[in-house]
Amino acid sequence: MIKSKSSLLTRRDWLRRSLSGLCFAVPVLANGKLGQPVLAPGPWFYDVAKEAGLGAFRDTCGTLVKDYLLEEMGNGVALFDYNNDGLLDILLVNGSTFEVLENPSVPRTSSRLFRNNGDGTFTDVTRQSGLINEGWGMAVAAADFDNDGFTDVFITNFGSNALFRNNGNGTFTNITKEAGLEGGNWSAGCSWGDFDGDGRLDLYVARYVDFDRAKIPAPGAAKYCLYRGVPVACGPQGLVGLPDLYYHNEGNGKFREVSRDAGIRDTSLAYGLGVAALDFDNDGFLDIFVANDSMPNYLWRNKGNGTFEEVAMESGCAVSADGRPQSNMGIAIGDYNNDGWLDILVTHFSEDYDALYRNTKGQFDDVSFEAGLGTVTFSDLGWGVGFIDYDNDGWRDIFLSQGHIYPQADKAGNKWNQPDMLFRNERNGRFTLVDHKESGLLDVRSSRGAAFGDLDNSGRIWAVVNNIDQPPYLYKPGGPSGAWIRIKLTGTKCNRDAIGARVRVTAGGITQTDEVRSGDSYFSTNDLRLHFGVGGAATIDRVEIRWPDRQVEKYERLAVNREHAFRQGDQNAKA
Amino acid sequence: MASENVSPTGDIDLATVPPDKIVAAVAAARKVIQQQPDLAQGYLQLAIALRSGNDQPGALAAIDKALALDPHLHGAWLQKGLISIDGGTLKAATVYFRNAVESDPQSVAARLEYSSMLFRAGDFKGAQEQIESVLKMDPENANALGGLGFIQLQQGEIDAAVGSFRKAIGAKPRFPEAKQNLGNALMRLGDWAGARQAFEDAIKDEPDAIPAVYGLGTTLRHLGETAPAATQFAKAKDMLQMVQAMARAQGEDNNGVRMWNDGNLAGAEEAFRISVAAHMAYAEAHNNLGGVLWQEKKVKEATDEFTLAIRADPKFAKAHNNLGNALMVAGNLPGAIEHYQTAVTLEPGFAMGHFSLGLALAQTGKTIQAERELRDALILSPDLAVAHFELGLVLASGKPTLPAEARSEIETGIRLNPELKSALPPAIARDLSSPPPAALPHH
Repeated sequence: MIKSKSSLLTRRDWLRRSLSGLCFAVPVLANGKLGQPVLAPGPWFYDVAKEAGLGAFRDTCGTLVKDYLLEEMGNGVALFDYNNDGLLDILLVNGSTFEVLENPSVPRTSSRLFRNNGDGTFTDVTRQSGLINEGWGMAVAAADFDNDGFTDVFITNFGSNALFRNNGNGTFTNITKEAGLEGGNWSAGCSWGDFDGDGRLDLYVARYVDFDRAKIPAPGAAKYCLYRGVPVACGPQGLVGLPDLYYHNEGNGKFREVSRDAGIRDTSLAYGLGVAALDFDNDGFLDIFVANDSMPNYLWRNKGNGTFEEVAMESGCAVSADGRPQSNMGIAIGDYNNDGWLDILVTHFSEDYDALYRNTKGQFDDVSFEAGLGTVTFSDLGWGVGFIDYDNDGWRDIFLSQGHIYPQADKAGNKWNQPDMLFRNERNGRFTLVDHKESGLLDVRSSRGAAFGDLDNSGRIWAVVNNIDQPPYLYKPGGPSGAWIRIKLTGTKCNRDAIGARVRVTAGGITQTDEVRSGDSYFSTNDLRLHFGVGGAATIDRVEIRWPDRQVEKYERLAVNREHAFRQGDQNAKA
Repeated sequence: MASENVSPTGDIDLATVPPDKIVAAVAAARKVIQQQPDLAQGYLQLAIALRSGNDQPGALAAIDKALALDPHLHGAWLQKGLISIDGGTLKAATVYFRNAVESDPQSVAARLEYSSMLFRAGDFKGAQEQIESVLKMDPENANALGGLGFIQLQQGEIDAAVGSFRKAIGAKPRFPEAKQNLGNALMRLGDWAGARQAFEDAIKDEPDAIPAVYGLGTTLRHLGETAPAATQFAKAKDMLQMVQAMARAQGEDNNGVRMWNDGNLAGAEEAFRISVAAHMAYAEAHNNLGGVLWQEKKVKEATDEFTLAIRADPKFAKAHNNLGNALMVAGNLPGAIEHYQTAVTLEPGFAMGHFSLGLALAQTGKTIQAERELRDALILSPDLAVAHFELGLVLASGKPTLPAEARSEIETGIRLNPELKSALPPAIARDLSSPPPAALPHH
């Protein structure tokens, strides 16, 4: 393969050539000599939640004291285009309070849908859209489950879950009961995927603990109700877990819970939180990774016949490198080292590191410390997470939302409010924490769910973070940028959103890999369109799409800095 | 980073009293305190002895007295820190260990414990500083070397970590944690054969070490030995499932204890039953279930549960004591004595066990042995009303008149627990109501 000239550009070269957002710190006196101009990129993100109209939303999650685990877990975010106007809208899942649940006369809380006005502002359209989830919301996965061309929304709750069918006219109808997706008790992360290849999206729902407030000890009353000696809400250890649920899409707006038939036997009643679908072994069948809190993770390998086997332990992603189950919560899936295999990053509790599982031909190794993430993530508590290429250099960086689970953390030597983190991919298997001044992630709140996507179709990735008991962050990207392409897929023989499709983009001498996914990070859904930064490349050499039905299509010589929409079976790229 | 009871340097800071010496140690400490009430060291000795006998509240009270007399008694801060760790109050422990270091910068044990706390809070640099101070004083300290290696490993200084672990193992050949950490470090260097050897060595030292079993599996996988790797992973998985089952059992047991304390016997019984179902070998829950059933007058079922508790953990002193009680009520005095004796042999600092044994021995007429056990109980727990009372009765048995010491003990028992008065034998009640004989003049 002949490398394009642009591939020889270094990261610094193309950053210097980019005009936007640069400022130079000159001259630097080094060893008494005048130094060369040093690039000092301005903030990579700016919080514009207030100006954009999200500032009025304030997440509700129980009382501020938080005597119960349910009040501490926070909520997710979804970025999806609910009205097909080509702009991503924002759904912020909301929690509730025991008072609301127990007293019908108390005003309800609800998740909030914000329509993207296309001018940097958003309008709360919850009421008119009918997407009103009054349960104690947790996670969200948005996808077109009925293949009608409009994105539907599934929200997990404490209590009955909720499926909102998109009516195609800017409104939604709650069809949970007819669909058979109520679930029950405490559902957590969820993810869509056509796991049996029938062209319809199935659904995996992780469940956390069997929560009965009357039976939960008071903070400090038992062994698992202390954090460094300070009384805190009890659990999950010491409480009973719930089996995860796996629903088959029957194709008529109905789902059937088939975990037993599918071989998904959550017999250890693990405390399931995050869920993400990925093809970890590149066999063309979509597998499922489940982050289990304080217990070994699950990796349900799709055997290709609609059934699964659990292989996390032997695949190397069940526990830490030293054999310890960690407090697994949020999940990022991405090929950070551009070797064609999807890697997994899992966020964890404080006083423990976030684990990076590098995938080598379907076998994982915990390389957190080698990658420079071990020590720096040790003290804080991570939730939402994404492999995002914030500077479009062709190498996926990491955004991490953080905040302690216990408001009492400050009494125990940690912090309830913590800064989110940005890590730069150094392109050698290592990441470096970007200084908060440079990242722009300066504020401290107790963050939970985080979702990532191109909210203004500018070719840059935004981050939306749901903060517990506080307004969200809406992080607008800034700073210099490389070139990029965005890929929007529409399935015709497979599911319409092409969830599970794998795309390989070759440009500038490197090949990047990603898959369409609905449901990952912590309780959240990212932009279903795939985004690839390509650094200094002037053109895209090749795009290879493996659709969920394993049909492969290839496209060559595509323009950068634009979205390419591909429809299954259509070999012509439409820019 | 695990602490040891006695530091390898011979530092007595963390000293514990051997089980068979606990009663004597407590007695000696109390004597010292009686003779020199202002001597902080006496209270510290008492605290160490009581903590060795699992009497944490007693130990803590003694430590507080010691520190009130001498706020710079580093051993007392150290003991207080260790008790805080046992209670899960890590932040407080950190402060106590820091005080211990400040009180005596030469204390190896204090620095190692302080280092461990700093590490757990994420202050790797602070932890490393403490360990380096230890190594300046004692370059061959295995725990310090192992701790240093672990910090180096976390910070990506792999070669240095390997060196530290190897030195630690050289200083202390049976050190499974250092061996498994060495395995992890070698894995990160890609030295799969070396890692395999390290994990196998760790497993030889401690066959149930999950990290070593998992590490061995990972190593074998990288070496292409798929089938043996799968065996190790399956083993690790099974062991982790047992750990999870135990965690669940402990959680339910905690719930049961909470409900029991709240007087909700039915709720407690249910929780304990769930606990034993989650992990059949969880002795604590069997013992607690037995306790609730006993209180519910379900003696036969309670006896079964105490028996199951002992079967699950033959070294569970309290379950032996409870089974002894059950056998005694059933009229099986020899059987009861056997279990009481086992209880105090297993846990010589168990005051109630000594009392139970003394009571049973008294009933068989073995008054000399009974007296000794009751006195041991009172050394360990001076306010144990029933022990005073029974000791008084033992001292009075066979005597034509009530001896002064017997009278004093009985009166102390009743003063501490007035309900005991109703248990007085009529003859002694009579003697007790008459005034004590006047003391004879010296000349």
